[in-house]
Amino acid sequence: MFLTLWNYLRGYVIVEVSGFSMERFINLALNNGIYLWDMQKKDNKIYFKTSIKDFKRLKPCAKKARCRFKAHVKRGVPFIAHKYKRRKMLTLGIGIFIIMIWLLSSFVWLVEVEGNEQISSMDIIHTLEEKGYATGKLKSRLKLREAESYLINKYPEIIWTGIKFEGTRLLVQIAETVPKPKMQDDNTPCDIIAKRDALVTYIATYKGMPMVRKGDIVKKGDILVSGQMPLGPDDPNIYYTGAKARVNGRTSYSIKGHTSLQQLKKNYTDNISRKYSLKVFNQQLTFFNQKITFEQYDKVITNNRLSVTKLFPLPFALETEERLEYMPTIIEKSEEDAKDSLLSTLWENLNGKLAEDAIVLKKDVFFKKTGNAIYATLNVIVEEDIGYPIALQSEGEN
Amino acid sequence: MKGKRRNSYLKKVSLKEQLTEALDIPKEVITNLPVITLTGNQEIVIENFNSLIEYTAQKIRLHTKSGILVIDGIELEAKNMTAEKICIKGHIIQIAFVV
Repeated sequence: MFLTLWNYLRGYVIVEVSGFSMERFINLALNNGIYLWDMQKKDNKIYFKTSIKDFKRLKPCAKKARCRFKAHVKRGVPFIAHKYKRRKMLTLGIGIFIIMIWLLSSFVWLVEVEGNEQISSMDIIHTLEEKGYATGKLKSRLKLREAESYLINKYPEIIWTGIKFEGTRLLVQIAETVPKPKMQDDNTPCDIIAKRDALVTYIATYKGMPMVRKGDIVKKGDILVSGQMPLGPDDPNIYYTGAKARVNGRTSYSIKGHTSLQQLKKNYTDNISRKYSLKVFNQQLTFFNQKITFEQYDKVITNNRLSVTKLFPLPFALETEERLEYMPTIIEKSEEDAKDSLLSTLWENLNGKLAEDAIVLKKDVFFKKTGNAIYATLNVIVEEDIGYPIALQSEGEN
Repeated sequence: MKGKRRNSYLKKVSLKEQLTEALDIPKEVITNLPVITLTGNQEIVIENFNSLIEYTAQKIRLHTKSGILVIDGIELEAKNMTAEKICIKGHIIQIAFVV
């Protein structure tokens, strides 16, 4: 396998020998140190392969043995190179091609973010873009280490980033911190404030100075437990501590929503109009566009990025725009169904806002019908943890 | 004449051979005898041969120090050859020394 490849690179000649004493010719050649391989005999002729250099040395042997020999086939890179020596434009083309590949691959054509869970990829891409780390930039100009430290400084949630090139791709790998635990470090001074307006129903202070009592009504932002503590019963000087307490409060939520009794249903027909376009950088070149013969349609845009293997995305993308025709039909919903679905969406909204251990004490729903729409108001009274630790700003004064 | 030659092949217990045996040197190094390696009936490698006498796809005859080596077979083909070594591939039927 490798030998064949090596021989091909060096070039070899298949020699055809004819005459009376071919064996003598072979012997002479061998004794002259000529290397032969793949020797075959066919129809009183011997064919063998030998290198270009050795082929030139065959002549005296043939004379001695009175044989005739000729090059049957010439194979290998040197012969091909010789063949194309005169075609200058081809060599130029190959050269330009290689230079183009090299030039194109020295740019960044795609920025990808990996490992992010909370921060969205687009955010990171945009922040990098502001600093000039974006698609279309020359790879050698980008200082990745600086970009890494910039990202870490910009987002406190990121604890580690690794930015590297993978082909023409700029790969941003991110490790995020786990969301900060609610439990505060005892040493950082903090207050506990109210998350919402509430009626305090339960307060247990582990640390800090309680500012409210059971039954008090607090407003959002009021300090429930203070981190400032007097040093002793008789000592008016204060020290700072991290307040720690559990404060439950009765709070009320009011969520509004509306829905329409009439709903639009799209009955898609099979009529599709397509538009193909090539996206080069941010330019769009349409090369095929079907006429739209219908009035109501939805657009589906598919973007196919062209790339040389996965590692080398190119700045070209094939965009297909499909317009799907639909026939609109209006469906009348019964009032009961509409109310049900509206209520469930309201509950879903509410659940996102409540604390984990909230207990629903009371709920009221009001529906109002105006025209085709139904408006609903969901009032809920819950008992939940209303404390929220907030770091003390006056830390430096102490 | 012929008888004399045959004698010379058989009488080969010469000084050289005695020496190699005494010194435990591989015989082929000193005596220039052919070393023949067979791989099944598919490949035969002969080192230390003198010259090629006949070369066809069915029969290959080589001149060696131990006499003429005849290889009979089907579709024999010399895969590579130099002055010292020849490697023949094909379907080998018989190998014989003809004196």
